[in-house]
Amino acid sequence: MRRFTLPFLALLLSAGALRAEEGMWTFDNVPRKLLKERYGFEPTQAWLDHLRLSSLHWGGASGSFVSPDGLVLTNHHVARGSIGRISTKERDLVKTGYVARTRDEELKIPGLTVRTLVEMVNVTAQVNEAVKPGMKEARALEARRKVHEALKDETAKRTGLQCDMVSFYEGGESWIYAYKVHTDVRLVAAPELQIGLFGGDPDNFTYPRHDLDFTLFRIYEDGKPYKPQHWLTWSKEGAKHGELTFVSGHPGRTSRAWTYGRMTHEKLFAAPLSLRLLEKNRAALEGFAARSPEHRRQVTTRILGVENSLKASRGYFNGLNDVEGMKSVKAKEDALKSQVMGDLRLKALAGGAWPRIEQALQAREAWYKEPALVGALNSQFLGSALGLVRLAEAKAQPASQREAGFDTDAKLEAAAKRLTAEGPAPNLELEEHLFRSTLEVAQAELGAQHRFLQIVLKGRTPAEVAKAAVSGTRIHQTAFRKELLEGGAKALEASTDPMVVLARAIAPLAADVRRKQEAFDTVLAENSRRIAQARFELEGRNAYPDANSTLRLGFGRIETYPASGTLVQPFTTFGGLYDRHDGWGGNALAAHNGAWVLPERWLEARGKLNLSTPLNFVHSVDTIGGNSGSPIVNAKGDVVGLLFDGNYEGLPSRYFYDSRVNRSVSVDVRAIVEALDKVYDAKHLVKEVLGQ
Amino acid sequence: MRLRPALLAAFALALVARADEGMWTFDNLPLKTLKEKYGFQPSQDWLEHVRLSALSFGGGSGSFVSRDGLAITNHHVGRGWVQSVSGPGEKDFIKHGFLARTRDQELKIPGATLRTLMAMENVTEAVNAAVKPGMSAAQATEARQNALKGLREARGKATGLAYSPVTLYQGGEFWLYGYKVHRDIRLVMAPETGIAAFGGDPDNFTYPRHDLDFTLFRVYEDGKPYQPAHHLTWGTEGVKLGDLTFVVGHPGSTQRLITHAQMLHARDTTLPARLASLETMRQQMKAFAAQSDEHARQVNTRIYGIENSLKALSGYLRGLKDVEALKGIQQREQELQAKVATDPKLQAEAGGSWKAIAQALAQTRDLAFETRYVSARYSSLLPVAVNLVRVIEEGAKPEAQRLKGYRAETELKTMREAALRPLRAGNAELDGFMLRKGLEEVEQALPAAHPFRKALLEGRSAGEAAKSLETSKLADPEVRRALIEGGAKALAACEDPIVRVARRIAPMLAAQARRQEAAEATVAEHGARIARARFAVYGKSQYPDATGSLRLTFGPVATYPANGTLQQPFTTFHGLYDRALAWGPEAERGAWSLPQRWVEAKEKVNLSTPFNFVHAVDIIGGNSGSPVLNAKGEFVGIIFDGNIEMLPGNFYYDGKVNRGVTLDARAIREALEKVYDAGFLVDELLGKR
Repeated sequence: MRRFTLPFLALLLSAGALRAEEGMWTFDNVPRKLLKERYGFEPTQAWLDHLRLSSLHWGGASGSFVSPDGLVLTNHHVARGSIGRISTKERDLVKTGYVARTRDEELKIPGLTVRTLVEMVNVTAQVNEAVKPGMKEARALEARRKVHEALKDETAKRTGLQCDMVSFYEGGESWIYAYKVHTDVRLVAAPELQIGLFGGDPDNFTYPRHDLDFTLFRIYEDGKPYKPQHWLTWSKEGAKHGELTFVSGHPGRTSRAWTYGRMTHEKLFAAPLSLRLLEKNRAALEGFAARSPEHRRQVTTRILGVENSLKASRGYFNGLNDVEGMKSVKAKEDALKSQVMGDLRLKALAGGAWPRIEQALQAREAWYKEPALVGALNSQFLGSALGLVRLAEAKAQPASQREAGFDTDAKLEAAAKRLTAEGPAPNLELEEHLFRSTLEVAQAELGAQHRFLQIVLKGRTPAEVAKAAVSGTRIHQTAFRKELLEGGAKALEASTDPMVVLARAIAPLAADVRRKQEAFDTVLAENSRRIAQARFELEGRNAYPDANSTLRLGFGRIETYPASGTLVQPFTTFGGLYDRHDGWGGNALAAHNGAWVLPERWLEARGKLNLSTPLNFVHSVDTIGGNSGSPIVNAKGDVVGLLFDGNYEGLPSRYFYDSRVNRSVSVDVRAIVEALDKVYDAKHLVKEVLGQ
Repeated sequence: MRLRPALLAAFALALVARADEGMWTFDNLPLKTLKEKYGFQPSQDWLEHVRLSALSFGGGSGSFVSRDGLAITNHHVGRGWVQSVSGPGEKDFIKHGFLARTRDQELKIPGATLRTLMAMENVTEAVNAAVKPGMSAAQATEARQNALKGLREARGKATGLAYSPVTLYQGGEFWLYGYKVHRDIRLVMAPETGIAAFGGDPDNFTYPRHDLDFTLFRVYEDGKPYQPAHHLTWGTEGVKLGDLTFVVGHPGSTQRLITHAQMLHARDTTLPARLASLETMRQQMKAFAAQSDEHARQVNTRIYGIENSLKALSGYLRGLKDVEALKGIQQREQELQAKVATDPKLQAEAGGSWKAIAQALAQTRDLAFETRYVSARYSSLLPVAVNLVRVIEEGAKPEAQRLKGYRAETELKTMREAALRPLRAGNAELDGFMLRKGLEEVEQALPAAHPFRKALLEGRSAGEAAKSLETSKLADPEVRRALIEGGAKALAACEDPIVRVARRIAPMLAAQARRQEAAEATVAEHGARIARARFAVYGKSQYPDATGSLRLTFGPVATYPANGTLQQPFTTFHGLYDRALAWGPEAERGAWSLPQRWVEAKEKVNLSTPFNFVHAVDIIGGNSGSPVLNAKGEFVGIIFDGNIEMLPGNFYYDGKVNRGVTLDARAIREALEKVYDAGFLVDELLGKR
């Protein structure tokens, strides 16, 4: 922990900012000493258990219990899919929002389950015992997995809970996480999309922000509101600038354990390529949109999606281009290397891992463009045809030899279903346009002499290939795809459909590329694990493990950061919401696809709301995708906020944490209460969360 | 009006509104561009009206906004004048604001003057005619100066106007600008500094902003309100996103026509050195402040001053580090070089000038480091002592051999008087602290054998040397008088520690200055040659660098990308309270603390009133207070700052992000009506009385 922050500390002090905290800690290993030293706060076991048992795992995100009657809180953007599922064209609850006035009106979400982490069992010793001296790597791995799985099943049987095998520190520790699963989840209150996502794509990933990004659900059991043993008390006062906050949630994935070499490869090759491809894709879509307003309408959502990916990717890659940040990554790695090299056993374990990774990365420089370009070329049609060809091939093979994704019968069935599903009406013009432009990109990136281009073009121009294939194919017809599926390899072999012909021609090459990528991934995984194991042996549990969607605790103060030449305000208020709405010309102008438009109800509420109510705030807690919906609690354990995003400057935290500017963005609970009370006329919910 | 191609590409990608480069003189407006891009053709009357409504406020700008001579500028432009009529307590108008409820209450500002540009005359031909064949460069310059001086006096006598010479295009054109001077200026209304400069130092140079940065004065003539022939009509509708705006004002100076080599020199040598010195000074001041709250109080203003300079210089440096922008500058330079090369006369005059400048700069590269340490900055007495040494030593030499600044008898006399002047009482503790810190720097940065270190420390540690230097008696003017009267002999015999150091470092400083001046002379001479060549090639298709003369610039109200999103084009009073509440009154020395009147006004003002906005106009320091007009020529706002991304505008204009920050006229009206209860002023501004 300290080891990681030290190189930044110097900069930090010169920036005059408060110290901020790096770390996504597992609940069994909270850095209590650090908390006590820096904040004079030492959580008791009861405090930690209470927070853990009030937290919820929400698919790829997080949530928490906030009332004794099973009311749960998460983000609107986490709940959006669920709300969409119970919406209809006529009754679009995502757009209009929803408030259940009575419990009868609470709407069950079909298929939605959420989980509470009830038990964590450390089974590292048993799992490691499975490995007998002399076992080879692959066998050892298998032995471990078997024991781990048996222990999981045993725990599940003993507790009646849903159990996951979990490993931390890249295999350094093995655990069983046991969850209570809630299967009856009902919608209680959701704001309108336009206030939940105020600022739309432009403001996404940024701060200052003005989003009421929350939704309330209720968990039921046996048809009655569930009474959780633990739920978070709602803070009336909220938190102040400088106050310590805690976040309890499920960060998804970080790449902080990557070697410096791997980050450098990403910076020099993979990242620029992916930015170029996104930019080219955007240019192609813009070219299509420029044809007419109707063309633009057809691709507006796609353009916004690409722009959002561009923005996020640029943000991530900013980290790789941050000289100071990368210097500290390098310094950390050099220190680890010299420790490893100084210990014979560790040297035998991991000394060779860095050069091995380096070698694989260097070899990849020759073909790193292929995985992104050798394939369906941004064409849905070619994608379908390739899928059918791969499926037929897989069916002809024994399960053990099939590629990942086709290695069980269930997967084969799912693929068949997917490939013959009725899709939306095809847009032939767009299909041809994207196929052609992506083929041009492939030509420019790989060179016309590349085998893939030779096979696809056969002396023709990309425009000719795209035109012939798209206008001549029937692959967009569901019946035709079913026919091919049923006819299997034979039917595919005999088909003269131009897309099928093309798919057949490129399938072997695409498979080669996948195999190359798989072999590369294996080398990196195995050697990364060795390095991680060495690091774990040296540092043990003084460090936190990379994120893996398990429950973690983070902490830090509500704190400003420097941006645009000034200091960013720690809180925003409802006043700021209306400022940004008015500042962009309001609903009348509806600038940038209506990003800052407000629902009618919110325009009417302007006179009723206390405009000084804090709406969002920034704090120095270490979070990443997956933390969305995490409760933010104060030292008393009361919920003061609801995490929903990070700032733009924090995106590089995928690779390393920079306390100067890395911030999380949360909804203030006072805004939720004020809105429920004044805008949604939901006093019953205010009373429930405030325990009145 | 050429957007650099390199920028244009990035610009189109960002899908941001078009932005317009150029600070145009009124005799040479890009009318064709205005018509083609905006379908707008200002009439001669329109132009005359806005020019004659504009005012020059010393280093800032302003305008007439009522029939009865009401003049508006920024609070930060008028602050000195408000200060000059302020007193303690209730009369601290800087803090509490000021409002004259009747004309009797308007406060006359002693010594204040304002100017309106009445006449512009191109005298290039007459000035150049003064240069006769066979004259040397220096003789030619002098002949031009004399001709300009003669013309200026003649015009002044003939018209009664105050004429100033204006050199445009680095000597490509010479003009005489004739001003009507107003000498009776009275304060009418000033808001509290807390609202005029809301956000204080942190928010300075930035956007989104929430500043009511205006002040109203009234011009009087013969004891009565002056009735200007032209004043701006108040635009009650305001502007919206995308609307075309005009700015009429006095941009101070830009360096957009310096060579690529000069920019690289600033980027790699001078700016980093200045930033490093400022950073060191900041750290020293912070160390002083860390001793106690009282110590902090004593130096906080200085620290913020340093931080503001750091902010501005870092902004310049960021601009120069912009690879694309610098590439564009280099391309344009190569284009010009190619054009010059095709004309033998131009080639002979300026073909070698780029290289000459680059060489001169290369030879002074080490000076940036040297001047950081070889300097008299360590003690406030050291410059006094160095001056004393020079007055005595130079005075003893024949005039031709004297140092610059000590050459003529009059110059020598001025310097002697300066040497005898009593010193302002300083903060002795701070001086001692900074002396020790400065000497420690020298100890760390310069090798023991460095002559300057030897002279300053005389082999002692920084602490010992500081202790010794502090015993100097030079603060006493009588000690200095005795030395001057005693001449070279007394000086040589003087054992005062500061004098001892000054004697030894004076020649080092002189040598350094000579090198610096020689390089500067080369750069100036060849810079002028390039400028003349550029003017010969491009003529007036380009705008001249800012020189403090009246200019027109235009562009739409426009957002720009920052922090991963797009900045809102307008802020509102909502945003003011949002920011004030978010920070509270204590944060950052009260930067966001609101005056009590504004705390109470929250219920009264229409919170949706547009407050500040950003527009794509090309402005720079000196434009502060410039009226912002709509196409009808109505007053819709007043420029008070640029965004942080505008700072590189000193060197080049980047339409993607360079924005002016303006106080919206609607906010002024709302504040006067609802907060200051000054409906009578609103009536006057709206022409209702």
